[in-house]
Amino acid sequence: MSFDSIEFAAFSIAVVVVLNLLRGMAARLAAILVVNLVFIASFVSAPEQAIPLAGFVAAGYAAVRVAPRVGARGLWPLIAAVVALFIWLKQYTIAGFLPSFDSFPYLTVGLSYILFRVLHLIVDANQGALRPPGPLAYLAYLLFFLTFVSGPIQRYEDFARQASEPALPRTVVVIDRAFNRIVLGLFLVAVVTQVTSYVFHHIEPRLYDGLSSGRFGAKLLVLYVGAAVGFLVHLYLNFVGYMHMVIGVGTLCGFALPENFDRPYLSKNFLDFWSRWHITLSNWFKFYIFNPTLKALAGRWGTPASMPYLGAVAFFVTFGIMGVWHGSTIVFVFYGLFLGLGVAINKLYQVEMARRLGRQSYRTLCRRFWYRRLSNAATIAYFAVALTCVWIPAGPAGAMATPLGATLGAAAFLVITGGFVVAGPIIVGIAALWRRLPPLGDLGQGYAAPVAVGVKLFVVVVMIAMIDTGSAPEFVYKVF
Amino acid sequence: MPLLRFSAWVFATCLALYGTLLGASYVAFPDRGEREIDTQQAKDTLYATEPKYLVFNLRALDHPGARVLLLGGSNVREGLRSTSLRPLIGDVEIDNLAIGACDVREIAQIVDAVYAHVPRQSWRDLTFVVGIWYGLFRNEARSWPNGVTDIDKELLRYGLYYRDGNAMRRRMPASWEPALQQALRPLLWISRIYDIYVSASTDRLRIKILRLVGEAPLDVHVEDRDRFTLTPAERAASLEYWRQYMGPADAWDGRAFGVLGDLVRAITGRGSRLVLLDLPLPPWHRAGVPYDEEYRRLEQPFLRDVAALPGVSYLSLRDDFGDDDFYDSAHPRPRVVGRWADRAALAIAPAVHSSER
Repeated sequence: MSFDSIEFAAFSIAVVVVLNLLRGMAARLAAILVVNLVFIASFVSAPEQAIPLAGFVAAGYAAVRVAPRVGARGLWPLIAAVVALFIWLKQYTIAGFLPSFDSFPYLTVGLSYILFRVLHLIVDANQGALRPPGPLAYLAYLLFFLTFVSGPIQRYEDFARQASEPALPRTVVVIDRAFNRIVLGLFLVAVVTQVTSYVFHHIEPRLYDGLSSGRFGAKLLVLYVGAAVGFLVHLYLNFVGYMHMVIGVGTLCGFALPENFDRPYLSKNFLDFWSRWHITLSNWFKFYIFNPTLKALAGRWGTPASMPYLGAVAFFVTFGIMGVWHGSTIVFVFYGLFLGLGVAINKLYQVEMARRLGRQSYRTLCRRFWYRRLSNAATIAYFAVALTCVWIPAGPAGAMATPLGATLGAAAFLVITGGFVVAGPIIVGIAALWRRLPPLGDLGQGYAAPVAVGVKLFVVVVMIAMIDTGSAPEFVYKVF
Repeated sequence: MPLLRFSAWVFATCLALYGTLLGASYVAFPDRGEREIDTQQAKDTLYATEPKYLVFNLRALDHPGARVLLLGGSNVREGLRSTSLRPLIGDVEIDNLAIGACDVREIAQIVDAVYAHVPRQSWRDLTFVVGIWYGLFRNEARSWPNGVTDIDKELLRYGLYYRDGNAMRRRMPASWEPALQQALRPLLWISRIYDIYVSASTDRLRIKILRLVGEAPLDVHVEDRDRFTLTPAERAASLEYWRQYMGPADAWDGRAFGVLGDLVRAITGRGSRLVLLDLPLPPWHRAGVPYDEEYRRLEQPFLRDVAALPGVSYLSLRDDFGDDDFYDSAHPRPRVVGRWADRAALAIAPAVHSSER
């Protein structure tokens, strides 16, 4: 079920009605579980396609139940077993020696995010931070239809609290805000990213033709910059649109889902970027990879002088793993290296600059307009180039791993940086204007606010009808 | 229940706006109930684009009778006009179903759609005419990077159809289709505004950008087409356009000949007839790109395979026209259209009349 489909709209209306009528945690959890199963069933054409997913969920539950009893030493084998099962089911290249199911197309949608939730439960249950949930709560949480496909990664304790004491929408302001988010999300997913997808897919073949020629030139650079920026814009708007929709529907069901984006185009540097982009994923990696890694490194080599450098190493490891998580092929190892190097170099740069200039002078430098612009633009450019690993097919990816590709990547980084130095303030200005639009919920208890939403919804539906191909681009993060 | 009241107002607003537009659409574009299809008319209708006009007018084929169905790209749309052909092949309905930048896969989809509408008892009275040339056999990945053709887009656009493997299936009974199409008029009308003003403007912008890098096709006004002549620079730009259109010659796999082979068998297997017209190109165009030669090489074994099938005929128009018979790199001048019809009728008329025997 696609988020911009009529089916999802009808499904959401039914779910909102049911969850607004039901009282009591058990009833709500049971209803959520049924809703989850209906939602997941829409992704399979035969029940057996969901068996691997069901097996993974069952294995996860066993691990969560066992976790409090195995102590700190038993935690790692549990995590390793769950991660190994995940790697096998996702058919990562490193699991190539294991039996595969090429002839059996089973469901892998949502598996990555289920892994994150399972690991969160295992670790927190092991450390006594939460009591392992019962089977109903576990299934309702793990398969929650609003976060099933691509998050946000909500913590279990928040989910459980909202399931038992839902903040049902009772005021026009809250309802209006939720409807507006849904309409805005629909607009971004079904209208804007149709356009960005169209642009990107029309640049791609020309770029690959250029790469196969093996010659660097202005035309190839323009095509590559167009593809890199086009994909970044597409990915951002697609994901943000999805988030608006799930958070809006969540609000109407009484759930306050966590935000995943905080204006990443304002990022001061690559480290700051990850506190603004895919925030719940970044937080998950911070809690469950970065902190334990840094703690382990500090336990062995920690001194006041070494801690900043150990932090850089921990960042490298964390973001390297995050990159590899995005895909099962060797290209994603390069993506992990890109991300890891980006944050590690950023951290080392901060340490070195503070040492050479002194903390105060470095802070003053960071506040200077031109420095902020350059740093912000370089951050966006670096991420746009790194994302190449996510969109480029295997064949042309080989061409990118040659001196031509390196030259192209470096030149594109400079061009995009320069472009964003100029375009950044314009984007920020437009975004600021957008955020200052008056909240329509303040129009009062009458019909003005819903009529305004109705007009917006109508305009968006009409726009979808105008440009929709009936096969809107897939939600990008669905494949991860 | 503020949520219920709010939702009711939202949906009532949407319905009111939709109803208003529906009424207005009948005033702007009264429903004429077409009986013949001519994609050349598309831009003057509610549908604006050829694929949309075609998909939403297929009900014009719902009645029995002998008919000739012209299929191909813009050169068929412009070069094979029903007004020129009708006096030469007799009293049959002629539908021009050609759409610009069409490829074999799209033609196969159009043929499927035709069979879904023409009553089964009239299948033996159908004569399909497919205008072939190298551009029709472009690699699919290049034509449809995300796997969705222009015909797919129109079938899927309003959710009337869904994809089932390679096939398109109706979501609702066929008998509902006319009513649903009427209900969709507001959206079609607004789409027209988009297609005429937004899409056309972005196309013009795209062509201007492409022209800057020396790749764009020319857009010659209808009234200039009988006298306009390409300069050497414009010819070079046109050839570059076709090189970009087809991609590297060594990457051209010619698999589309297999699709056409399947289509030929599907048509003849249903008792209909098929005329393959090998369409002419300006000699300077054929000599300036590597594709025509490769096309000829791939075409020979294909023709040997299908020539023996009952109801299939082939006619080449390739060598009957010179450089001056085209106003650009592929389309005939209006004054030459009669000669195209004269030549094409030599194959079409016998095919049409063979069904009467």
